[in-house]
Amino acid sequence: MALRRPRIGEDRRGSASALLIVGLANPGTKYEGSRHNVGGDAVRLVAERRRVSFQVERRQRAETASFSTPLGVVTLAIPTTFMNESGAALPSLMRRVSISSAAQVLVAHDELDLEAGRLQIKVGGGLAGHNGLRSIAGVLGTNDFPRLRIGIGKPERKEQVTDWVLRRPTGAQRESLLIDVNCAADALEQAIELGLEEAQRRVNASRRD
Amino acid sequence: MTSQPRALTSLLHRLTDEIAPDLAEGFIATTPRGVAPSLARFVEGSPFTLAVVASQREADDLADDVAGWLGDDSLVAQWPAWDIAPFERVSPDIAVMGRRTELRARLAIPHARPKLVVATVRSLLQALPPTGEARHLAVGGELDRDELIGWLVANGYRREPQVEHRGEVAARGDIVDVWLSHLEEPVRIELFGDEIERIATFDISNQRSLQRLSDVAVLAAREWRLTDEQRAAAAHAATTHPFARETFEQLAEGEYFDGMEGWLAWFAQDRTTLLDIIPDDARLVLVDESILQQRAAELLNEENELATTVAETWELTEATPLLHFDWSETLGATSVALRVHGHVVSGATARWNVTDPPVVQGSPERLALHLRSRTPDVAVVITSSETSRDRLAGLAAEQELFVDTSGTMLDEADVTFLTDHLPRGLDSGSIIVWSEGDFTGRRVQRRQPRARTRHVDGFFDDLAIGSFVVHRNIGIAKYAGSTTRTIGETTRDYLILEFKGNDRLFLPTDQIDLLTPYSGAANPTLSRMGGAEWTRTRNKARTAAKLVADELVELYRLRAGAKGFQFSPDTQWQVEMENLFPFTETPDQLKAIEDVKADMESDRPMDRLVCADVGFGKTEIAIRAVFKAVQDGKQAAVLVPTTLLASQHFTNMVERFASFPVKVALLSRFVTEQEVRQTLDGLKDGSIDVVVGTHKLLSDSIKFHDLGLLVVDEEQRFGVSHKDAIKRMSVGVDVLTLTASPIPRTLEMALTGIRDLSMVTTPPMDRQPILTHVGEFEEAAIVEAIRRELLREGQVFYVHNRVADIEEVAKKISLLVPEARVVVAHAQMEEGQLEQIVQDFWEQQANVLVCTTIVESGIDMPTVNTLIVDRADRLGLGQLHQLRGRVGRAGSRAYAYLFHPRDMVLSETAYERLRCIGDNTALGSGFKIAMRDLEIRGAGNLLGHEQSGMVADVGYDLYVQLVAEAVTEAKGQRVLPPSAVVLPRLGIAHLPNDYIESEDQRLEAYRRMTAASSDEELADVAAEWRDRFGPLPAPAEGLMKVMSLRVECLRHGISEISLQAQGERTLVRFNVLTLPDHVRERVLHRYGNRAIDPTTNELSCLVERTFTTVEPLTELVREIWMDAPSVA
Repeated sequence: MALRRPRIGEDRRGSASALLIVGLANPGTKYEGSRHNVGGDAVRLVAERRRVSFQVERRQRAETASFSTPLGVVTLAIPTTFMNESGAALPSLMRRVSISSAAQVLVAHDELDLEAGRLQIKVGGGLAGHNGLRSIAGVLGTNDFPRLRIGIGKPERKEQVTDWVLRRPTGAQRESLLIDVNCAADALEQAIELGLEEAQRRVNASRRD
Repeated sequence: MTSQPRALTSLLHRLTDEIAPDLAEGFIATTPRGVAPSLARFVEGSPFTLAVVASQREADDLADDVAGWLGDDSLVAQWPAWDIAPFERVSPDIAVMGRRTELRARLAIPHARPKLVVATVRSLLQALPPTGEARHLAVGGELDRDELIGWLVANGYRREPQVEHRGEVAARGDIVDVWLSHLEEPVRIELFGDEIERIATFDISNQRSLQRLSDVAVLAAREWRLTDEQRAAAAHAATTHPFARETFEQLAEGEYFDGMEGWLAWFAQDRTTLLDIIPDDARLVLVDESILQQRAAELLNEENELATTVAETWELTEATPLLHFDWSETLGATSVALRVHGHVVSGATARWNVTDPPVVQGSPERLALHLRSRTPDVAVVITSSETSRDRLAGLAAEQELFVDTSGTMLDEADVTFLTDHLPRGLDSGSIIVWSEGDFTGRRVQRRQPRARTRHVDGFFDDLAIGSFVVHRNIGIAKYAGSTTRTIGETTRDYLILEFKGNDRLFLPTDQIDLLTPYSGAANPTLSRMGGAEWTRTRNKARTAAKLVADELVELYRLRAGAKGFQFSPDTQWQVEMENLFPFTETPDQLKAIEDVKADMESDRPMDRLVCADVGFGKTEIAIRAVFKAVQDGKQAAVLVPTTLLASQHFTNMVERFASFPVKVALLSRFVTEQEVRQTLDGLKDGSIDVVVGTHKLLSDSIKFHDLGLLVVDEEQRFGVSHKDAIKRMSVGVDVLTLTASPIPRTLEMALTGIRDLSMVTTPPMDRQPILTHVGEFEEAAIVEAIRRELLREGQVFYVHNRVADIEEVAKKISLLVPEARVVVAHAQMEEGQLEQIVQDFWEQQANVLVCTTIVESGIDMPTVNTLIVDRADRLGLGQLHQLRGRVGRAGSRAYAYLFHPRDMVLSETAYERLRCIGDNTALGSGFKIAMRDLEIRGAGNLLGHEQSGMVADVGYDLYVQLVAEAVTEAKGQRVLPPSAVVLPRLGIAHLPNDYIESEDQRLEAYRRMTAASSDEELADVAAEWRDRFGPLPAPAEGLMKVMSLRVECLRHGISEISLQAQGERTLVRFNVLTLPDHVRERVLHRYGNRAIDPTTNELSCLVERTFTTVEPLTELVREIWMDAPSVA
């Protein structure tokens, strides 16, 4: 069978290779550049590199952008809801891009339990108190969806967590975060180009620079 | 220059014509003063002359004087000797080998030859090694970079990332830096393709080019290049002489190693000397032949004796070959037809009665008196500058003398003042010539010792992966390397820092100024990246720093207001006592003495701290101050931390004050009860002028009649209670504190005007370099070193830093060297016993002191000139530096043997440390760590011991920075701590790895860049890079543009700029500290009322354009902040 470039939006129901990448973030300039937004920022960066732009479709609760690759159609999505409702956009979105399995939804998110500057691709696992993840797990009905965990490190004390994730870091830490986002986008690219399994192998192996 | 003949030359002719017309056929001078002018005239009339004198000092003087009379330095050269002894394991100074190879090259070219070469007996009789070819590089010439480097390495140069010592070569891109053995400064050779584009000298302290050269001769770093025959002979010797098999094998391989020159004698069968390479028509002048012969005999004897002693150690039965040849054999065996032309005999019947010019002590009155009573035909005073010529001529004219400064009326004028160079003048009866030194009566220094450049702020020189650093705003982290990252269209460099919990931070290199190295505790706790704890720690340190600063300022205010005794200006006795100083003062030392005297003569009580490295002449400063105090009828007390130091200072002062009515007493453990009582009485009734003592001086029972000066040596070694007693004693008294620990530069600058500081950083001139051998532990080598020292009746420090088996080590040494008298000292001994041993050793009752590192500080023993450290790999660089400073202090040849265990693989740092100290120079990068080590102590002295906790908390460098800031603030000056400026990333802006290859240097370059606070300084940094690394590549140019924006931001207090693209427009946000009113108006007017956030002062300006490069953004900042005053 001759390879043919699939067209965007083409109906490829049941295609196991289609991928939906969801980057978690809070909307609004207030949260721009915060640690909680690194998932969304990484996804946005992938779109920028691929030179595709996000569209907000009517009644959908996410910005989306799609492109196709030899492995299948990839849809990037950033929910326009607040973090705790991140899952709300998923059902219609999955329907639109013909994805039925949670295994095809890769969620990029900030991870307190991972050291700042580190990345990990993992399928399933706990929700670690992440509002966005909890919302998505609720909608999918399972915890077993792949994730790109972007380490942001933990503050000294528990009560500092809110500030840590929601406030824009200052000075040196901001630029450092940008690099983390950049590395996260690299990891997403690998997932897109090589498939989840291979990307997982590579990203997790190169945990250090 | 005028066309008229040089006055000194015509004077020389007149002199010699008058006295010795047949000079060209040989001459006799009766006094040392007569030798130089007669030799100068002889040299003028001869094609080539070789003059031989007995010592290096005489050679220096004669060469200088003859060059002065001839008026041309290039006509005179010296042939210095290899300064080595048999089996010494050290090589001659590269500079000496360089001067020799240079002269050898010049001798081979007739038109480049000097007319006079001055040699010493030693250098004349030494075997001459075969040497490599010299080569010549000129701008415009063709050159293969790699070929040149290969040649240099093959000729003994060592390849390094950066040139800091003579004999090193470094290459970066099209640039080759090399410190040639014969030059005083290193040179930089810049290529364009395969053509030499530029040759220039450069400064090692900042690595910047100095002076352009059109060409340069390139000579070998090692003089001896083994011939094939010699290599074959070495290979053979390896089989017949197993005791030195390894060495002979190295020689056979043609390797260069330290100490190889000591083996030349084994391969010098052809008995070549200097005489074989001088021109055939050379004439030989022997200055005092009988003395020369005597010196030659001594020399051979010494070498023989040493070689025999050492050969015993090696169980060598045959006679070892000697480096020096016999006098009559050498002079007789030469194939060159030589005639002994001069035979200069001092004190023989006078043909030429030339003497020293009359003493005038710089006084015009005395000059006039002499000229009136003597009326010589010609009287000339030579001055070194036109300013002093005109000043002295003016003073002489006031004495109603007919004074000339043109040099055209030598006979008519009473006295002529000329500007020229002549070290020593003369008096022939009818002609008197005073050099400036003769005239003023001051000894003129031959060469100013060059001030040691303080270069301790090279933070990143020693930054290794895994070392601790401090980020000013986040805290202590571990350095994990650097990386280049490309994000979209931009590329930048980052430092990776690891904080607690392995959190990583990518620090943009343009924020590197927020980083300081951490030193203070061995294993500090890392800070948490998001923690508030660091802010608390830092604030605590800042508060402590502020307390220190306030206290310093308060002390200063109190003192400024207090009245102290106003000492009178120097007396005649003071001048006489000071003239007894047997050495030449260094410039720093003189400055410190002047500072101290000025303090004493003011009506403010003195509180001066003098920092001088070990052996740099602190004691002399104290002696002069003490004497000055006594001259005004005041008493002086000298407080020292140890009994031995007390004895030493006491002996010193008694000797120096012997011919003056000054009574000095000693108070220490070794003084009897009765003497103590007498001293106490004497101090009370004023019959004792000076007391030197340990903490016993601080006892309440001591009452002074009239104390005027307190000198405290090594204050940091006194305990807290003693310090309080010192404080009580200091009230209303002039206090002079001496320390050997350096003060950090940042602190020194901040303290200006608050604490009186004198820094003595120039080493004394007669201080000999310490011959340092670094190598594997070898019993024979130790025995040999001890024997060598005992042979000249010297003493040895043997440092073994473990108390547990120190007695065994001592026993072993006694067995190996039975003739040695060995004693042991360590810190766990009872104090009295320890002091007694050290005292006995000082009195030379023993000659080998086996000890722990207690000798590190405060023991001054001029007769100890060999230091052996058996586990040097276990000591820090600062420690090694101080230990080594203990020897070589009395102008005699000193040795340091630093051993590490055999077959032990040294860690990189241990190796570097040993190599650095072995390199024997002050400017190595490792030296900076040593200095930092010492500075930590120095800062401790100044800031008090309570501070050590703070140092551990925030790291030494940051703490010093905080103190410096606090002091500056307390003085009422503005402080701008380093602050990060966060800029959007635009364009490619970094230093590519292939532009600056060494990571240290790259980071250092970034640091220099972020330290720039104006466009001029930035341009200077760029010029430096161009000079050192070649033309800036595009990414570095881009970096400069970003830095230019950063400078604008610093100037206007902008801490952050961020961009948000909105289609064809961009929202530019600025975080600012303050906003001048007119800028505020401008922003509101241009960008609307909502452009300024009233609470955060954040500016949001919607601009009708997009930004892809940095320049338009810089323009925008300049536009908005037009006419705004700088806040930096």
